[in-house]
Amino acid sequence: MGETMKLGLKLLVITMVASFALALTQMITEEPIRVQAVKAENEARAVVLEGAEEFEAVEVPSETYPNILEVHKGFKNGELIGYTIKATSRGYGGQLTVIAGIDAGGNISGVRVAQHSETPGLGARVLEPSFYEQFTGKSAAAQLGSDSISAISGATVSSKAVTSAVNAAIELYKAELETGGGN
Amino acid sequence: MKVKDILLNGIIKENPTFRLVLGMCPTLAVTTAAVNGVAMGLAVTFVLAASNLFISLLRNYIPDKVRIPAFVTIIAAFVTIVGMLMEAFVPALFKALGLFIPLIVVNCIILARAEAFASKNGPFHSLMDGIGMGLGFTAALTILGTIRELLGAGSIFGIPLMGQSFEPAIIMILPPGAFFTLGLLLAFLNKLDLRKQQKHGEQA
Repeated sequence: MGETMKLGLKLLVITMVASFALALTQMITEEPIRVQAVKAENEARAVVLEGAEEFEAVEVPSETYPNILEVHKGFKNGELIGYTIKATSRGYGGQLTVIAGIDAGGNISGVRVAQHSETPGLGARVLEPSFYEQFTGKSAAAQLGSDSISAISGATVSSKAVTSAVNAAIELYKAELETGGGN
Repeated sequence: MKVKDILLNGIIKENPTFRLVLGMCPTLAVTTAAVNGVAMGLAVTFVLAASNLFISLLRNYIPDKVRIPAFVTIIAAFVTIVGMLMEAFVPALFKALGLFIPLIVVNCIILARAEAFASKNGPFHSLMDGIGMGLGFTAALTILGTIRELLGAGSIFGIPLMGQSFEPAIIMILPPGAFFTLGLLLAFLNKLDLRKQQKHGEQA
């Protein structure tokens, strides 16, 4: 009995020290991690909306637009230069998330796949510039047809999923942002 | 025990991947490209060296009967703390290695070395064992990653090498490719070993 107690107590000391160290680290790192996350998100948005320095979230009704995750206004020197829209769609391996930028002129300024679980070497090639650069400069005045973006050979489902997420972003842009959304 | 022997033991004689066949989960999962192998290997080297040092310093305090839960607690806490500090203060490094940090907790090499080496040896030698084992793991993962990336994507470290006409065998960067590559490499190394033993036998 005495030995069991001793073993238990020693283990208790080890776990207590470990928990204390973890709690302390959590306290120190919580704020920097949050700041880093915000910074990383803003950087991801600036990639698809070149020149944007500040972002402001726009509320959109999620019942009307189930595939839209986030919408942000992008500002440069206090002036609105466009929008970034995070949209999701169903890929081959699961949900994929696309972030699309639409500039003040109503053209797509950039598209990137933010998260995906597509097959490496096939569907995952939606991450390659030769695919996503196709979207840049396309007009957001109408939905992108199936012939305007050439799919990656062997990865039609993944390619179409990206296009459909971009189309969801275009739909939202046309309905909510294009007219008067700038103010 | 010489420091050089401890280091070489981890890198070659008891290479964790090819000789001890430990830590297969990250080995098979992350070696889709050479650069992933290097990153995972270095992350493991760091954690292994530090956890060996810790365990060795505490080896006289930890009672033998409860050493496994004690080791697991220390290693898991240590890895989590390293992960959080990295995420907060060196985000660039975390972006490159962050994915591998939680995988390291379940890497049995860490526990195996704590049990087999650090709990029986002094802090300095344990640190060296961690570094040696880590480098051996890094070398093995880099070899696997290089072969798989070359055959599965036609490049090494992202640099295309195979020319336009090469059609990459995508299966090599999918899970089956990991088993093929590891199996053939192990067979090859065992064959070398057998031949060496036979030669020694003939001479003796």
